[in-house]
Amino acid sequence: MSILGNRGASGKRGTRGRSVRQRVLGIEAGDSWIQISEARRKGKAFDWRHASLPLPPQQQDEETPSGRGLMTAFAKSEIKPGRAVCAICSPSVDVFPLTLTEAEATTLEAAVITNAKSRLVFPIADAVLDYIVLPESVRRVGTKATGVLVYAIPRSYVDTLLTRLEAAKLQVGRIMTPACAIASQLVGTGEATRRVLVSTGEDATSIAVIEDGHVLLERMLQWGTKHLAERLQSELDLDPERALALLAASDQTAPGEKHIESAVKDILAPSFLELAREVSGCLGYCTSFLKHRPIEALLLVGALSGYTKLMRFLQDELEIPVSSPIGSAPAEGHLDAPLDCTHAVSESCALWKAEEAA
Amino acid sequence: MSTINLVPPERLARFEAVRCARLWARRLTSVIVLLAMIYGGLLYLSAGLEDEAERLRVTYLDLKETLNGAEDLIRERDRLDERRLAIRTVQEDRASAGLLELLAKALPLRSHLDFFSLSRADDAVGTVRIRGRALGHQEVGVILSRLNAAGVFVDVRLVAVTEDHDAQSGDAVSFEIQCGLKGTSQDA
Repeated sequence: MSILGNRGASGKRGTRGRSVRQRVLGIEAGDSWIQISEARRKGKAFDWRHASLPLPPQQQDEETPSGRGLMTAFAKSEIKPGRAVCAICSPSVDVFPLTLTEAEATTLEAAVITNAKSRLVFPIADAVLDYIVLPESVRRVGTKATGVLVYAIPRSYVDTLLTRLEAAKLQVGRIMTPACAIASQLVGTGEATRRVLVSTGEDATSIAVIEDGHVLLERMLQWGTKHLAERLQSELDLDPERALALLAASDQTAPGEKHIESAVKDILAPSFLELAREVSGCLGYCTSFLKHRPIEALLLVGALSGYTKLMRFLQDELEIPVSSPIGSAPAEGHLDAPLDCTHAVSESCALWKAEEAA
Repeated sequence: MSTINLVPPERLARFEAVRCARLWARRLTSVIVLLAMIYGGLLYLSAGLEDEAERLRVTYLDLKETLNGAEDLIRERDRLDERRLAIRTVQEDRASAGLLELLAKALPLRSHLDFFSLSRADDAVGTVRIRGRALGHQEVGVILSRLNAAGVFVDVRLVAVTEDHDAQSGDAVSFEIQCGLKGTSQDA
């Protein structure tokens, strides 16, 4: 069985403008949630439709999922099922860099497979693998080895997800990660601009270093709104719904509720610190192994985009300007309107052209 | 630009196969619809052609009937021409009979005619030529004078007279006379 058989399709390199000639749905999927976006042209602008819903764990005896829940959510949001591009934000996606010398194998693919075997925690035969070749511009001076970023995911995970999506009449032709989805929206004007992208989800968060549309490093962290809500739940002895509501409301507390704000801040600080350390680790890797360039900004998207507590914390901890709206970020290339940061990943997926979707 | 695809290759192949099948199904449907439209168009045209053929058939029958009427008229005309010719012939025969009667009266006894011709120019009575035998030159002269006196013949001329020395006929002579008929171009 070919592991890298889809290189032909995924290996396409080309510019992708913001046009939707044929409708493609954008999906951001986590382990227990799914977010869908659909772009409809309205003159020069897009009319976006979104649907978010929990993805209940699949039952043991559920061989043919009905997809009724997804279909109902589509109907409520007036989204029509069809072809889709999906970004998976889950710790199940294993992302690791490899440095390959020319003498290692006859082809780059063979070298990737050979090296990946020792890095994966599951058998390579049960994995779906793909990789990105890092651009030469980020290589350190004097380095002749090829740098690749390898993405691996258990085949069973993808099969389960695809089967459930197909049951809801979604034909997913491409699966990637949040960083890959958004990177194409951050193609600069030619000047090398390095940014950190933090895409927060409910179960997991993707931390990536992006330079001029190229993902240099990506890491999936088991860290998300669910994780924060669980901390609030255990510390304040709340039920899950109230904990989530408090998390959502804590950013806009009334002036008289300062004590709640400070309590939430204290409770969440260790989690924020965990995230900041992971970001710092990623930046440290880039500094050590890639050509040094200053980090221009940290872009915070996803469920916690615009969460000022987190933004301030990261800014103070990392000493990097943190911004949320991608569209107003400097050198955003061909973006002609800002993406909604909460749905940035699914919206980026929805902007893939139909012919490149598979 | 960085891009990956973590869809398993076999799923992608199946996805592509389904997409191709749908594409071909759409194309096939389009072809069937197109053929149905062409068939409908041909049926419509053939219906028009049938009407045209029926119209031409009726026209042909009308023309045929008209032609048959014309043929009947031609046949009737020919029949009437034949009738007219017959009537004229009978009338001319009657005139010839009258001439023969006059000629017979002009012949003396024991003289007879061997040949009689009446040539006509168009509808007019023309020249009369007679050949015969008489007992002698005197008898021929009698014939000439009687023909002149008949009032019907003009320009009576003796064309030839020859004596026959035949033992059986004695001193008989053969004669040939030509004359014109009054009221014909011969007069001029």
